[in-house]
Amino acid sequence: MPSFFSNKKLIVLLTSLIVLIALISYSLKEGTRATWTEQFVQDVVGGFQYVVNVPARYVAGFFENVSDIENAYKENKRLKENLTNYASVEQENRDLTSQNKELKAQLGMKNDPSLSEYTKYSATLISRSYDQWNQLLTLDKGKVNGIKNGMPVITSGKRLVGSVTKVGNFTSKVSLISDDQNVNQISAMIEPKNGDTIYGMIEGYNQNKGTLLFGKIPIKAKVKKGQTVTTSGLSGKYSKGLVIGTVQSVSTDQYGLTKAAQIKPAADLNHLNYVLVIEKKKQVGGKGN
Amino acid sequence: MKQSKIFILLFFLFLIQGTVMPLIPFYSVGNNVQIISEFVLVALLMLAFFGSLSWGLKYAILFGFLIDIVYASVLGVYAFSLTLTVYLVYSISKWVNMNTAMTVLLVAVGVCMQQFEVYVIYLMIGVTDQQLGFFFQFRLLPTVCLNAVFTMLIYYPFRRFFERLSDGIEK
Repeated sequence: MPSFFSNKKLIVLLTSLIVLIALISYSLKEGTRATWTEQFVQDVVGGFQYVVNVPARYVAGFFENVSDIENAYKENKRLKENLTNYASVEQENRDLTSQNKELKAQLGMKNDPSLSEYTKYSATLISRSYDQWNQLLTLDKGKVNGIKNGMPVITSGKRLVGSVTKVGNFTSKVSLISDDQNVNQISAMIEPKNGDTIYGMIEGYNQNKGTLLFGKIPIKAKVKKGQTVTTSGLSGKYSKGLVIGTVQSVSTDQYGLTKAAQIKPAADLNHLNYVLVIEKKKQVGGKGN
Repeated sequence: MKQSKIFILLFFLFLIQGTVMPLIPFYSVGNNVQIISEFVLVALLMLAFFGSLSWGLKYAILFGFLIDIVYASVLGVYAFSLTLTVYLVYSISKWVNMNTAMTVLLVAVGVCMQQFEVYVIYLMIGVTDQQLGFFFQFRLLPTVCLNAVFTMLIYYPFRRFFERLSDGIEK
């Protein structure tokens, strides 16, 4: 009868445990910097993934179109209802934009790019990590295309998806906002219709409910269901005005000192095809933020 | 030549896991259900059963590191747990008579082990904070089902392929 662990095997097991712990602590310490081996492997595998992914996406897209056609009628009806408001909102928007421009010109801020201005790089998703614990995407653009570490990633409608964590030469990895290692860095805010702006932090992701935790809200702030949460631009990493999600429920945190809200992400994180990587325009100097 | 055939097969499964499988809308099955494809593990287990253990272990290390680099953020976790799982399940397989049902059962055991090892390590280093109940209820069961079905589909072609390959070399 063979035994599971003889003496020699025990030594091998212990050695590999030590190696494992060393590797884990190394990669936790290293954080977002990718070594050249990692970059090389990521790029080479990325090439193959691209080849497999294109036909797969094509087929998936076909089935998606079929189900889209089914929904088109319902959607059309709803959109027509929304359209009645559109003209007035557009007019309002135009007025406000011109007003904003004038005021900025008066303040002498015309050539000073604001926090919300950025350049976009469009990218296609080529793979994502298959275990749901790591929420990582691989994009088909890398250093060569101008992608850098820490850039925010959005989908259409300025909806925040995540940020770039590891860049290879031709591919880059994106950590989604639903990834537990990434989320504690987003400074967020709510701009209510009347009253002051409410600031807070996105602190974690709840996998059971599929919601983000918006914490550190002042206890007196009036947070209501349905309000939109955006990035505040205070942390410097994410530019201002990227939509994170809408408030689903509000509660007091465990110590009773601040409020916390559950937020439903605006972007459908399970269903991404094309994303935009954005880079804040450099400040022209002078005014620092 | 034989080695490269195995490598290509495993690499193809490895690519499928990350590119094709996430496109299949499993989340429409249920709200929270997480169905994870562990096709590389299934193929590695079959390689160890019907090919040779040393190849199985070698490729487990290699593809473990590939998964770590490409699909995960922390190095070493998959390399360690894949190798350990392949070895442990192979040790069990020596005591039983290999047939279709037994292989599917052993693969299911292997998938459970693999998921649990990675879960424990990730929980310790804080990559995930999934609750244990959630893990067993919404993740482990559907994952095992998917991979068991996959094993049944590939059983005969893979078995023949690996056995023919291992005939050439002495184990």
